[in-house]
Amino acid sequence: MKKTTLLLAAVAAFTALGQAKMANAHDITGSLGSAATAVDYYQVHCYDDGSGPTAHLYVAVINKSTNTPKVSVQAIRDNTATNTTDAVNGNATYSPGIYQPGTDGFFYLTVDKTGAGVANYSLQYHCQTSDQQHNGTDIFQLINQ
Amino acid sequence: MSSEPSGSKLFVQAEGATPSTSWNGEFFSKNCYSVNILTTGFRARGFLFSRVVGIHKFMDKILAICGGLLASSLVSANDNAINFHVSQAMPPHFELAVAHKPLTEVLKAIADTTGIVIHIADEPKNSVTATCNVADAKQLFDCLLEAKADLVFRYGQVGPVAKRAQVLEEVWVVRTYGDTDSHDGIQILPPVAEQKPDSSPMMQMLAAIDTGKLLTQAQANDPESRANAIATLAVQPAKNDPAIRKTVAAALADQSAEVRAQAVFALAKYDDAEAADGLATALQDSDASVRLMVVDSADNHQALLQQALDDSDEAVRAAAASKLETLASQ
Repeated sequence: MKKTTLLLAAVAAFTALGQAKMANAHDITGSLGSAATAVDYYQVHCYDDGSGPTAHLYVAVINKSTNTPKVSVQAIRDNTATNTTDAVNGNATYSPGIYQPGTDGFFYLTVDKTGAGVANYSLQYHCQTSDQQHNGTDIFQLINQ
Repeated sequence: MSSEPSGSKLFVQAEGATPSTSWNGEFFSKNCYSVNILTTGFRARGFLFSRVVGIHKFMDKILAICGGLLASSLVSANDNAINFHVSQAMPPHFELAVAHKPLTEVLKAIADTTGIVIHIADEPKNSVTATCNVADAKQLFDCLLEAKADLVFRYGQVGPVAKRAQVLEEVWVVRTYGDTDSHDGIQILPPVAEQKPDSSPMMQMLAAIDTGKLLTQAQANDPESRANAIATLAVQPAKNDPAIRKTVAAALADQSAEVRAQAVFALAKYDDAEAADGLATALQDSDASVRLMVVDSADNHQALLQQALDDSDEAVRAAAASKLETLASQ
């Protein structure tokens, strides 16, 4: 029991650290309209701002709404895509982070949901170098539904 | 005036001559691995350039800079008090030791060893004494000239896409100064299209769309077609076109809530008082989806977001709260 308690405390501590580590990531908040087909679409520009060339884009999503469909984000670069879904709506935990490989240039993010109902979400996103240093990151919304 | 032997990378312009960029069209390479240059010098009134005969590849010299394809481990120039070495490591490491030598001779040693093309607008009278041990070519010039010159740097890119790096390819020493002056260099970064968001493949595709057709589509009978047209106009690079602005404004009063919502999205892209007023009006829309779009698009309009906290629709209130929370954390 004692070991389990310690283990849970350690997990909680590391989780908090993980959240804190990404506190410096870029955040953007959006809403998906009530239609089940609603999609938001972003362009992320990654560039070397002096920290080094881009190696990947980090992304995670959180659905801040309760009683709504699950929200997912797909990160796309060239011919590859990666997905992550917030498994639990309305809590304080982001989806697992994903690392979409790619060099300096443009990535695309698609945010969607599994059904009808408004979903308010936040994205954490940051371009990073090969040694996880944050580098130049700009975002532009192309589709808002 | 000085005369440079064939193959030299140092170009000294005669005093009184007009600065020239005669090699622009052919010389500005895109990367180290695809440079085929025909460089011919010529002697003309007021100008004197080195003469390089025939088509030749700079790959050997430039790949020395790219690091790793030289037969010897070091590339060096020793000329009786100019001691200059470039290591093979990637990125290359530069070591320079020089005492009381004319700057022109030192720059020639650097140019001939590294393959960096160096242009001097006037023949400097300075002699230099310097000891430099630096990690990149630009630092070498900074060290040698101690910020006493106006410099222009041009970079190219090398390597495969996944591991592309910048390399210094050309330097202009525009002017040198005395001890009391100091000036920063100007860097010309490689002309990579993706440096500018407007030049991304997506934006280029959007820019290629016939705006006239979109404006016509915005008057279509089908509300979905109108909404799609407004949504595309919202992200057009030419959104400041008065016709687009006018169409967006008109769409704010469309009978379809979907069209009005996309008009809000488009309006929010404009950063002026008229757009702010339009968003404030849209926040009073009868349809919650339009009001939600106002909140979703109103990233920096704190007053609007505060107002939306009192909205009759729970989703709008929640979205406003979420936006304000994000703004507060930034």
